[in-house]
Amino acid sequence: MVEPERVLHSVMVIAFERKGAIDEDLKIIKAIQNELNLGDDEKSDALEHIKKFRGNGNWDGKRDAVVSVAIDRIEEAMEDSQINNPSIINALKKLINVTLDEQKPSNESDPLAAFEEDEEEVPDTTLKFGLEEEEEITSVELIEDDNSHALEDIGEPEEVEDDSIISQDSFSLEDSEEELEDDEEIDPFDLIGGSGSSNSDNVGSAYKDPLEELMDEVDDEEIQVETIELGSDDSEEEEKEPVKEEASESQIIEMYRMMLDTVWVDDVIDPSEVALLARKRKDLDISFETHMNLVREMLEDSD
Amino acid sequence: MKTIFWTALEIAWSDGSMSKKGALIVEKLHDAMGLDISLREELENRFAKEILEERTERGEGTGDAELESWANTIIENLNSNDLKNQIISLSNEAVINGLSKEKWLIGMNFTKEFNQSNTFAEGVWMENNTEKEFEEYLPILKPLVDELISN
Repeated sequence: MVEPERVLHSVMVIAFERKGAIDEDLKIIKAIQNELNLGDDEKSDALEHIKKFRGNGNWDGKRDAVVSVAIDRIEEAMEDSQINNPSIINALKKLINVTLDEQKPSNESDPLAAFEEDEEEVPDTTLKFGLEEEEEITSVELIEDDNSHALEDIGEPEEVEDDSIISQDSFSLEDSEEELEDDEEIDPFDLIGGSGSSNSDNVGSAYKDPLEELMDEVDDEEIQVETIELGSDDSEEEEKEPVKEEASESQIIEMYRMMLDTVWVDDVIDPSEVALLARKRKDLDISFETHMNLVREMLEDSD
Repeated sequence: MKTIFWTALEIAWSDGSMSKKGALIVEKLHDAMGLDISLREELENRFAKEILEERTERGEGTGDAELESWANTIIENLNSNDLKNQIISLSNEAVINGLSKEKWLIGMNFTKEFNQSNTFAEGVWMENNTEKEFEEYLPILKPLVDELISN
């Protein structure tokens, strides 16, 4: 189980990276604090740590590894039911998806793709189709930077495109609202974006977030269709695979090294981090001997 | 932290001299530990420099009696079927307590003397687990327990 303090830290990391700046007033931070029964001391500790290591957002050249570790921790916390509020889970899942999507355009040359779980590699391939990818990225950027424009730009076509999706979203939002105890409406994208006013323009219960719609569009059905299309083109697949393998072996090890550095950056390693690394070694087929060599090198470097 | 072989040297030289009997016990312990010869050389050189060089008193090597009793316990522990599992259990516990780089190195160096550093590493990195729980650790591991868990 991930320590609650580390879950909070991880949420803050990816929320800040999404926003592109440290903003301790993001609503999602408060929501996670409440969910995990953490006070301002824990928040301050996490904030201090992030400020110390984040730099200008480069994390000493380890940004991707830091984000990957943060995502893994959050996913583990959700799997372990440490976070139970559906609205927060919804927000976190979308925050994770958006963060991962942002990394995807460079995936072919970016070995960090190897750190994604196997299950998540399916959507990866689907995103190689031009139109969907462009639409999705555009919407994310718009929401982050200027929500009101995003809603104007994207709202109409989406409503025309698929009414069933809209109605499903409306229901899920109402369900979430019922579960909220106080009168503060927790909107996942408000939480992520940190801008309270922009989403409130979306008129109460009829609120429908374009990002939510776009993400719902990349849904099981679509993935299946595109996976079949990819699978049917055997020659293309055969051509790509060896290149990917050849290019990725040393890069995977390098990325694993970065992950190891990141995990031990606070000088203390805990069971969830050890479990995470063990899982990654298995997923990436990295031997224990290689791991031990990397540990030695890391310790020598830190001397 | 004092390692096993370092402790053996300290006991053997406790009155400023080492008896022939003491030297034989050290050799016996060396064999039981499977201590790497270059590592032993390094330890003895450091011991001579840090401990013996400054010492002026000279005894009759009376440390051999204590050394014999202590070494017998250590050799018994080295042959114990529980040793590996205890090291794994200890390393798991150390991670739960929060294992720093410094403590990782201490654990590795300590267990390396008796060829169990890989067991320690496998326990830390979850390559090997034990179902067994131990209420008490073997005396050979006591210094490491104190360093990794008790502190």
